[in-house]
Amino acid sequence: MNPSKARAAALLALLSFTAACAGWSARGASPNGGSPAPVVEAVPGPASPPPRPLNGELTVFAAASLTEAFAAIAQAFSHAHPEVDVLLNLAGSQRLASQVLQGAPADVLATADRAQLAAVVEAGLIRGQPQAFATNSLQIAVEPGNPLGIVGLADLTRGDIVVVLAAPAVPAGRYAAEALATAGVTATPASLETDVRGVVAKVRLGEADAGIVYRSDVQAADGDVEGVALPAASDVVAVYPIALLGDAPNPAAAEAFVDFVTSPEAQRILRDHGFGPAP
Amino acid sequence: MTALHAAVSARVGALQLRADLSVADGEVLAVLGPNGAGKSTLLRCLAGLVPLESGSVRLGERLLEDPAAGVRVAPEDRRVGVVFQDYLLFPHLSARENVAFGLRARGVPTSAARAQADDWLDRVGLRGFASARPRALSGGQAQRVALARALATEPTLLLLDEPLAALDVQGRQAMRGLLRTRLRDYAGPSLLVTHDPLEALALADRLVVLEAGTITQTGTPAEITRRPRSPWVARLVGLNLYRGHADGPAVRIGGQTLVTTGGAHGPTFAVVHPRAVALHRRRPEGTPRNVWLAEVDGVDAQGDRVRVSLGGALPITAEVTPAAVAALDLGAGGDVWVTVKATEVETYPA
Amino acid sequence: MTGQPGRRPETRRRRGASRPRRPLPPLPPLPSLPSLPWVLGPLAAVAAGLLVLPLVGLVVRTPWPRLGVLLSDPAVLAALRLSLVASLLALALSTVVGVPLAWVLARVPFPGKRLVRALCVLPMVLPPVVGGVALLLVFGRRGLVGAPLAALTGVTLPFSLAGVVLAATFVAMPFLVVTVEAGLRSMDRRYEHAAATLGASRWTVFRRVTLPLVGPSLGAGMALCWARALGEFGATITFAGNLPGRTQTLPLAVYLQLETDPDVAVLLSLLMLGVSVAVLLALRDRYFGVGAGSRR
Repeated sequence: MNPSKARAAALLALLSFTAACAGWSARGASPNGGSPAPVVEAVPGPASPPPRPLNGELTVFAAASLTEAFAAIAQAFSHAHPEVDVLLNLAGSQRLASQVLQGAPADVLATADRAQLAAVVEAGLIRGQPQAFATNSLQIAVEPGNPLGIVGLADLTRGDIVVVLAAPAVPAGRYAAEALATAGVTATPASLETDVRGVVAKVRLGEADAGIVYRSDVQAADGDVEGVALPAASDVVAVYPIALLGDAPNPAAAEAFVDFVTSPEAQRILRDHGFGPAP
Repeated sequence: MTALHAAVSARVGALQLRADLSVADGEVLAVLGPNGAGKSTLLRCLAGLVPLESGSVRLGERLLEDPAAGVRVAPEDRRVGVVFQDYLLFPHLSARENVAFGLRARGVPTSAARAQADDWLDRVGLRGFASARPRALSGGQAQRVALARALATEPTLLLLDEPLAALDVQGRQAMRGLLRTRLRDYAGPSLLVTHDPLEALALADRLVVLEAGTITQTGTPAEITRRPRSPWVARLVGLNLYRGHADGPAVRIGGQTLVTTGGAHGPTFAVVHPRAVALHRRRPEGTPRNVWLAEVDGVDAQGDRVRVSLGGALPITAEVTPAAVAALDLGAGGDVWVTVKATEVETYPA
Repeated sequence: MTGQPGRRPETRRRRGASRPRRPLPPLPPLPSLPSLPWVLGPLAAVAAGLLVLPLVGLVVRTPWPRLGVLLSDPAVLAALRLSLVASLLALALSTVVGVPLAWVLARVPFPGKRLVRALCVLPMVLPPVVGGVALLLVFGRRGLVGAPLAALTGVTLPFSLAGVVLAATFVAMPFLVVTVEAGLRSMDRRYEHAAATLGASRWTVFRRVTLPLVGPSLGAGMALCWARALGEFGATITFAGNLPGRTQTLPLAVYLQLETDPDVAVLLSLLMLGVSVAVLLALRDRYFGVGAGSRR
């Protein structure tokens, strides 16, 4: 091919590529970004259908605070269904919701509050109804031994205390704001982390003196932080819903997983990790 | 008053430089030598850019450097003006700013420095070029700015590194004239480094020949050109030079003997001007005392003169007319008879 | 010979006279390689697409109608102001201490120099988050330097503007050091010798000869340093934290807005794209290729 023809071919290739992509993107953030999953007709409900051999990958998006609990649950699930490969994507709930809204392929979504899941429900991406499967309460994470003597939310206004919270878009951040408002306390955080584990990390590293996290996070920290419980009046009950995604690549396994999470075995695992029972 | 006395011993790379020299106030000393002889190194030692291994540099009453005594004055404190071979004009400054640089560095207020710079540029014939950047100047113009820049600081010693080397023939002529004037006006000692004998002859009061880091000859230009003491100088001035042993009028050079009119004894140099060499195809009769057979090695036409290099027991170069070349058919090579009169052989002690 | 502006009378045009139409100049010829010219074309197109399309996408998907409103949002302005202030402070700090470092690396022989130079350049290739962790370990409240600093002066660096500046300086300064060092190495040192013989002290030589001669390298280094500081994310969010108005720089704002209001994220991204393009355009002649050697 002579040089001028090669040049023309290259330009044409670039232009076609550009046009194709522009057209593709002009369709908007389409939820149908991935290939359509094989449709399996199954009715989710309390009366589970007879167990059938499940396989393939199962992608579970779960809130950061569920890290250890869901790791244990996934392991237990794999015992029962050895052919299923459970992939956990753990992040702040707002990040997970945003990812799903932008077309990330997932089977199951479990968030730390109903609000984040609501956005996904509104976009019509959920199959069936979300179910609440656990609750959580808040605690103030402090250095082991509590050398600064923090006993309540009011102490967070002290000038010598460096406070870190989760960002308002993160469920933990919203709950914390609620608790502070109820207690009538205005805290000035030094940083707003992108998920609740970031708050734990800052306290653990000694960069922050106090942070508002979940009780389960304090437990998961295994002694690296100490928790100061909030009085019931200002405490907030965090409700964790779980839902199936309409575009799930593996709907059968997804259903089984959701069922498992609401089963007594998984509930005991959640309890062991510091979560409260479903409301 | 501020005469230069230097005994320089330094090593740069593989070259070991050892040179002792003096330059009086107002005198221009040329250091002549082939490339790689160490001339630039010598200059840099005097300027303070290369440290001495041993020796000393004294300018008038000031001791500039003496490693043994632990004395080393930094270049910026030596008050030595240098005109570099590549001019080294600061490219980001105008001609005026270049010339004013040294003045401002010594604390002269900016406006006064600029005024003096303009004055100097005038003196080197560059009025009107004050705002020009170096890249807009021709070689000759840049060289003038470099000279003005060095002189503007009223240095106590002036060093010039091959000042005419980068110029073309016309530029060289013009610059030579300017340099002669400015060097004459300059009150302190000047040292000029060059590989071009014409430059040295035209500008210097005294010459020093530097070869391979050592001084092989000193003297006035006239002395050196008449009585070279090294093959390089001889080649430069176009003379045939031999070194041998004199025993009265006979000078033994290797296995040969040259008959001269001298009467000295001992190691001696003998020079023969190429024009004093006569060539014959047949053995000649007559007075010349020096007659021998030589081989034509090469014939080199240089305008209206022809240089014939002759090999054999006593190699020699003869200068003849083109007509003679034709008549003797020297182009064909072969053997010729060489004659040199005894009176044409100049001898002097080695 | 000199001083004459290059005017050639025969090309002067009289007003009103129309220029004869000349055919469009031909496209520059593609370089021809002996064996695979026709494969290179599409491959190059793919590479260009990969690099250019994301930027095109950014521009195409910008919420142009919302631009005015978004630009006047105080949170956006706060992030923008903070990014500019922090990046310029990082640039200033990098220049003040980075140029001397470049000078030492270029001119002063000392044992272990190669190792020191490698370490100084390391932040360029280190993942930024790793840099942030390292900064915490040294300058955090419990850090090697941070702990005594807090004890003596009560100053803590994380969660403050100083922390943002430090994180940005850590990742961006090596760009300046490397560029200036290269410039110092490649400059003709004989100019400095000439200046010395004219009586300039070492500081004067540095100020009036060395710096101007490495000016182009210094400029390019500063531009790269500033651009890198402006875009720093990983080290900033790890070390300095995230607080709108205080430590939330533009890149952090983009990251977080993506979850709440993607339109704002796109807008902020466009802002940063604009700045990056401006920096590249300013550098194109000096540093990046066509004409890099011709303009000196």
